[in-house]
Amino acid sequence: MERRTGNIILLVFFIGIFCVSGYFLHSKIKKVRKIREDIKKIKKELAGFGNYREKLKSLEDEVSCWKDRVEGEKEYLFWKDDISLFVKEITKIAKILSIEFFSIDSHPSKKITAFSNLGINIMRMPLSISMRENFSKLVKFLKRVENLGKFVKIERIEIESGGENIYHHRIKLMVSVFVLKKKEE
Amino acid sequence: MINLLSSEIKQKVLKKRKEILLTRILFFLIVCVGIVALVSYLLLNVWEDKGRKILTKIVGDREEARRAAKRIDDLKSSLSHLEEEWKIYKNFSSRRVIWHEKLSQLQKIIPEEMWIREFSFNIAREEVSLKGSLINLTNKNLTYFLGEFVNNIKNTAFFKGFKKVILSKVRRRNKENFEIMDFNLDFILRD
Repeated sequence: MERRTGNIILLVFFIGIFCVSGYFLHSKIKKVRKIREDIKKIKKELAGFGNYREKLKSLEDEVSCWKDRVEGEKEYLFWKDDISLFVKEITKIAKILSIEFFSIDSHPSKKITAFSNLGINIMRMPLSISMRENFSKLVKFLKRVENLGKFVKIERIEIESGGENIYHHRIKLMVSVFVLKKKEE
Repeated sequence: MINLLSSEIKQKVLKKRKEILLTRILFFLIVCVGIVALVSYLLLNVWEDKGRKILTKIVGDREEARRAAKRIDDLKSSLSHLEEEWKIYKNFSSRRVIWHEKLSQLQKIIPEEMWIREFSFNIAREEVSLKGSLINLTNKNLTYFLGEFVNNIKNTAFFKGFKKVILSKVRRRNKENFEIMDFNLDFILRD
């Protein structure tokens, strides 16, 4: 083979190598450029989210704090759907204070409010109590009822003095407790 | 050195030398291009790997951020629900009047000459109705005394929480040589 032919082959080989490596390098550069563009784009998107970890953490803490608050309030406000428990508490107080009740009448529980967005109904369980006692005992009784640890609403108080013993009044009370009921679908 | 070769041979030798030089240059170029291409390819590979690692990490971060954003929305909505729920419960459990305090305060402000005949409170009417009587033991002007009492009651702890007090149905009577004045007082919780 002549040297000239060899040179031509070498030249073709050179051009071939140049083209092939050029193609590979070009596609590689394109890939690297694409990756860099993607990184830039995602970083920009991430910057838009701000400090989401801190935000999430503080929100989780806040929600947990509010959950505790709501649970505490529910625990204080709502009784079990059983009027006997309420009667038991009231009679316990009366026994401690040596108060004799004339009568205790429970009334049917009544739905007072419905919160459809929360899916709850709030029911009221009223109880009428009548007694004949002096003013101080009544104050003590009401103090214990109002500081029971669970919420009791005093709806009505009627004190009537008179009769033979002016220190003993005819007292009628209406007290209510609340019951929380989940709304049935 | 004296070249004794004929000019024809001289030309051939020169041409051959040129071709050899060209071959060498071409070979050198091939090797150079090859090395440059290889090094560049390797370097680009390293960059690509590095970039891919960063990309994988930040894509993961983005996914986490998207999940977090959704969770933040959920938490915000549950927070507003909880706040609303708490307000409802708080509203139910708040006492406008603490009765044992009110009644003991009432006990303290009642003068010796006065007694309560009837006391009633109804949450629906939002008023306290008090029926009382005054007895004249020391030759007092009962009307003036009652007026003073009603005026002074507004400055007592008992009145706190009430909006106004209305004095009505004042009646004077005599019982066993004693002058007695019956009266009604209404304490209004709302305007």
